[in-house]
Amino acid sequence: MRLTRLAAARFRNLEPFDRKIGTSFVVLHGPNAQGKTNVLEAVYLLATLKPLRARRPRDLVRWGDEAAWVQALVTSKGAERKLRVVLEGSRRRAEVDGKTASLDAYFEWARAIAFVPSDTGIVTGEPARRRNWVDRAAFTAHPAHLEAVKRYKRALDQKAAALRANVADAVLDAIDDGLAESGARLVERRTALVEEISPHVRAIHTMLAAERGALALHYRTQAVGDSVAARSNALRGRLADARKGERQRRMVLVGPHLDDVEVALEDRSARAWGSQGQVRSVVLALKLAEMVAASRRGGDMPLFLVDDIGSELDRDRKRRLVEVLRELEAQVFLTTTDPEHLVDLPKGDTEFVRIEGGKLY
Amino acid sequence: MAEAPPQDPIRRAARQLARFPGIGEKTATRLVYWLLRAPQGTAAEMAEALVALKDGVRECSVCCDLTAVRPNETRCAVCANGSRDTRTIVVVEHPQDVGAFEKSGEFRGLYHVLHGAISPLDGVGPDTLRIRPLLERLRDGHVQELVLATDPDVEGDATALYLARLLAGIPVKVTRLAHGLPVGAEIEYADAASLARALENRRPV
Repeated sequence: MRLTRLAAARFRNLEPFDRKIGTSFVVLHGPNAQGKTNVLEAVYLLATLKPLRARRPRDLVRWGDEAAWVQALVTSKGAERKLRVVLEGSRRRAEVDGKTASLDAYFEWARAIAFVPSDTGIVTGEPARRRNWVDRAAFTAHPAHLEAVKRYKRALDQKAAALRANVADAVLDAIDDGLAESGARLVERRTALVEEISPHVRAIHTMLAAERGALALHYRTQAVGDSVAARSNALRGRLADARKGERQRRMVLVGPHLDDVEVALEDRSARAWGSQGQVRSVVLALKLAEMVAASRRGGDMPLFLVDDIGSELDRDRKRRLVEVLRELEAQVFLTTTDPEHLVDLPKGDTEFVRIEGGKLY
Repeated sequence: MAEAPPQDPIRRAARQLARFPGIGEKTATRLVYWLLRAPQGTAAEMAEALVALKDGVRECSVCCDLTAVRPNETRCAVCANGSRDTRTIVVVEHPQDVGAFEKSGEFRGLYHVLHGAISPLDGVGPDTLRIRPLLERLRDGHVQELVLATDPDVEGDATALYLARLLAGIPVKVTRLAHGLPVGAEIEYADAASLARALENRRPV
């Protein structure tokens, strides 16, 4: 996927703009709090329909205004499309070529993966961060994953409500049957994604970190088995064992909402590492491997967005990151306060955009 | 909520119509203006039909589907029809679902309407549903097969699983409606989740 033109109005603090883009690397630079991350927000919203750093979509509308829009010309799979996202109050509308599009239809044309400073939490933070990463990566590569996530979430909410209401065992049994089934489907998908992505993570990490030691991912779950049916059985057994405790604590104590992805470098858990540089290399490898997995569906590479590259990576890692990105043939949007440090970007294929006071120069 | 006494009749009517699900204030106002232009008596006909609705409709004494009140008949037209196959029952959540099956003309058996699905989030449990009348119907052993046609969502599945467990001791065949691709639709236009499920449920040809 390539963005060849980007425009926005009433978006955050940005002055309305409409700009052609002709390069693989786009560097958004300028002093802090002038709007460079907001341009990145605009690109991310277009490609994922989600905010990047803002909490809610409505926070993306300029203060005091009712509605904002972002639009872009993209080329993907040899065709050109006009994508447009309109934010109105808490509502969001996605359009392809001027017509409101379903999510399925929209995401045919738009995909992006971002690397922001807080992403180091994927390695060092709580298991929930890693589960979210897996679900996001699985969705980018296989859109049907979203349905599996939503269904398990709904089954989990029903189970929690059933425990609060202290319903009869016969009802809990039926709810557990469904919970085990939807949980098993989710685990099967997550496991498949981790297996699909692992070799890419290892290869990219080796290129980025230039360190010895193989990086390994392992999905940890109680829903063990080599098929959905076997996983469902395993989960169902665990749920039966946990019934008494779940009734007492009125919480669902078993299931993929408690799973984890182990990230290990030569058998040491990555969470225990000391070096921030090491952690960043690993997270970058995860994100870039996600790009590869995503591009294998439909053969189109997502956009890659990096917020605040200066603070994130040392010189060597930056150089190797650029090498990997060029090899992937991804279009890349970066923000930084000092563009002078990005000497390794390809001269003829990089555009520098200065942002000051909400204006693009 | 107390009704504000003297009120603009247009706004008052619009407010009433806007109580319908799926009808917003704008649509309601459009309907009111349409009524004002409609021939004399239109509104009265409508009002009369709406008032007669509740008293004119009851639950069928056998399948619990909604049916018109008729003298000397407590059953719905399907249950009262002597030519249906009384050995097969399709179990659905809502009366509208019966309509969908009937419109297809493909099913000659009987129905049972649960009036909902198990959903602890909405406070709906088995006792709220018409499950006891269903068990009554199975008591004499005449019914051979029960087709669970609840919706393929979390609540519909929980309801089907609950019934399957409940009926485990009764000598009746229990089946669940299959799900996959809509027939006549082109695969190109199927959504990813439906395609995934259809693939999973593939079968040898």
